[in-house]
Amino acid sequence: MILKNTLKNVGMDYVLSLLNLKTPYGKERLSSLSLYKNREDLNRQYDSIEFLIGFIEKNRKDYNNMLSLLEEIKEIRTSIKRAVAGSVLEVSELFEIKNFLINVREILKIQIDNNFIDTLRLFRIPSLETLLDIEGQNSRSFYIYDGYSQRLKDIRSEIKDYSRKLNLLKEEIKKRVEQKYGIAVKQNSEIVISREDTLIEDALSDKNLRQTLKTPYYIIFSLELGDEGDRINNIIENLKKEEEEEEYRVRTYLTDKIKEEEENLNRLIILISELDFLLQRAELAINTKSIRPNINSEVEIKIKNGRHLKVEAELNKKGATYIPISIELIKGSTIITGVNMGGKTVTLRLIGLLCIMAQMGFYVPCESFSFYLFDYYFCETGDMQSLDTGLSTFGAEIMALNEAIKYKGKKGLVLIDEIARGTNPREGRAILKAILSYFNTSSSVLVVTTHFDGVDDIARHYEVVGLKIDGDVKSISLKDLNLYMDYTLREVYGKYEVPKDAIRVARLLGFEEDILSLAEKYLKEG
Amino acid sequence: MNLYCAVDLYKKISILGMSKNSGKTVVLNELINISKEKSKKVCLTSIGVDGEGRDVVYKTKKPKIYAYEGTLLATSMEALKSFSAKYEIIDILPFSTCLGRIVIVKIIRDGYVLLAGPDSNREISQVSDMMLALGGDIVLIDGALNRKTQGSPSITDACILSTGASLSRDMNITIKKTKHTVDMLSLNVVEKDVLDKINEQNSKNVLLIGDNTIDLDIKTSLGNEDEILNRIDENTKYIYIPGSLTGTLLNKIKGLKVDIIVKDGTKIFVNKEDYDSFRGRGGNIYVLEKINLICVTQNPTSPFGYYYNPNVFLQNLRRALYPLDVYDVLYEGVGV
Repeated sequence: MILKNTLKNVGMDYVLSLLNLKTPYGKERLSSLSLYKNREDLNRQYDSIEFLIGFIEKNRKDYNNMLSLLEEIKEIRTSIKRAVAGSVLEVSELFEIKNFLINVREILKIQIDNNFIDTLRLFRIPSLETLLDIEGQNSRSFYIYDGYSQRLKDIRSEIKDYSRKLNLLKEEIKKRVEQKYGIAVKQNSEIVISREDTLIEDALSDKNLRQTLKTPYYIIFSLELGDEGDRINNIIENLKKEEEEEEYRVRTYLTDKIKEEEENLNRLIILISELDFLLQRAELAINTKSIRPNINSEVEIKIKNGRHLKVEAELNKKGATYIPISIELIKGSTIITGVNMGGKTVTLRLIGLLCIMAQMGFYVPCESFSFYLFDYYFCETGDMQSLDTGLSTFGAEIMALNEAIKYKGKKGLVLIDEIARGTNPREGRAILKAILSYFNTSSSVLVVTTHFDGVDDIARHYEVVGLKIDGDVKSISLKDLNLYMDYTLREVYGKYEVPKDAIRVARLLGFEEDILSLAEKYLKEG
Repeated sequence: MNLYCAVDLYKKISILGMSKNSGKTVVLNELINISKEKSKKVCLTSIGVDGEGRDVVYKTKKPKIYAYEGTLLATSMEALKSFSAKYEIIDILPFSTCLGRIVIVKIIRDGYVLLAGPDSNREISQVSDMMLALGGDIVLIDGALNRKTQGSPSITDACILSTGASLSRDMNITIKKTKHTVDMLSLNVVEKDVLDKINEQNSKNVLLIGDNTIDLDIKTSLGNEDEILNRIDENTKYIYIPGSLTGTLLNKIKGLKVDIIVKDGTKIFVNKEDYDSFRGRGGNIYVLEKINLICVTQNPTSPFGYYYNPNVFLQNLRRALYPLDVYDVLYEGVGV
């Protein structure tokens, strides 16, 4: 279970935006993401990704072909549903199902060539494939072929015969008319004769011509095919009706056959959605140099040189480098302290992001990584003061936290950025301490960033190393501050005072010296 | 140039109509027949849907374009319902129109078809090339001359304009309007360095071009005429309008020593009086892409019960449009 806003707070939405899913089935996965609860299931996901990474790296060409085939796969579920509900499928729907099966066949070919593991393999539905390619043309196009019914074939050949007869009749009359009037008859059987033409009177009484338009300057006639023409036309019209009825019968038959394969088609759709999603996760793993997570049997998280993909991308865009973070966490409460702008919040998000990615079956951007299969995740990063609810930051924090505490009996990863920061320090510290001791008795991992000191006796304590500035550096621009920041974490043991770098940072940023001296004075006085 | 030569010379030909009933369909059918005589495999499509969306299929008369066995065509899914021709589905594309997705079909029994092709230049080019790749020899495109479609005949090698009596009861007005449209379709391409500047911007917005190129972040000039006017200064030499150009804007800019650039001649919806007055004060209109107008066809019949004298109409139109060829496809044939 992932509690409200947590996915967004850790930056999972960014990770998902990196996936370029090809099929409508794969895309749907993004809106129904869930955590794996079972170690075997999750390991199978990692196995699949491991296999696919090998496939992509070994055979880029086949991989790209597979992606284009996946891209061709269209939504056919509506048609399947319609077939099951008793509707008769349209020719265009049959075309789509035929192409779906061809794409499946082509993907399977690539899978076989590359020795795909069984769980990833699609399968063919040979009877349906043959049925939709009844004339064995092996083409992607489709219509109601003659091969479906002898009757259809007969009707069509009759239509052809009568059309030929009609054409002959037309040609004969056309020839006669053209010879007589010396004017060409158009393809639509019309002939235009000027009123000044000496033969206009003849034309008006010609039984082979019928007036269609009279103007002051000319008259348009069309060829009159007479009783024989009417007779043939009637026959053709009737045959076409019969043809339509027979086609409908064939479509009904084909729809029934598709209905029979409902289960297989739906199974294929699930396999395709899984393949699409796994391929994208494998590609992401390659692009982000990610590794396979290890699943611990104890409530424990170990991150070695983990990178937050979104923050890393943002820094890279600015030409800065991201410093990977390492941290180890166990059951109970942990606090992270450190100077402003030292990356405490990023660390918090990183922990959440890596664990959620891993538990959703993603590889993780780390040097090594192990985690526990949590029951729930909660991450609150302090930017949730919301105009909709009208709550203050503190109020919103408390409401959100209350949500997380509901699941006390379960094992969760609870990440909170600076609890009670907006409150008076005495009460704030007391609330923080209470929350830390509360979670010490639970089976969850709680990580809190804070500026409050004097709370480390009841929690494990990590500190951001912070500013590393030589004495001779007198000023720094805000933009360059990160160049002087050591974002790595070190574990702190025993009683410890939170470092007070704020005044130093303010001075380097060129804040008013008079105020800073006063601040230092007050600090000394306590 | 007559239609016989056109079929030999060009691979993609579009037909534009000055108005409904100007005989566009007659020309298209003639081109289909000529191509058939020359054993050329015909491909058909249209720039967007001609008419009001679904009405095209469900309310208007029967389709009038006659396609022979082997013809390839790109149309919308719903349009297939009104076919009397029998077809095989070759492909269903991800492009959509108000009549559903675009399909490519192959005619397997002669009959009437309804064209409702894609709307954008990119998509029309793509379906045309697909059909040529499927074995087609010539693509005939039913074009549109209205504000609704974005696609333009500039993507074709050659363009035919059809005009006719349905435009006006007064033959002289029809001739005047036709001449004006021909003038707009024949406007010159802007000089190369300005063309490069516009292409460099790769923008879909109104641009002011002078020493610098300024992107106004305005998508259309319609309704934004005053804002555009306010942003013009003594540096501005050209205004590039990405969409339709109207008389309103032209009248506001008149006399400012600023020239206008549009995508092509089909994007100009300015009447002759406004254009002449703009030109009279030293303004010019240029285009990015020239349309290769090869001939004009005329239809002396109108559906409203009045008719022009076909010979007089033909003679006068020829005189007005010289040196462009004019044919009366209904009466005189296709100009052999």
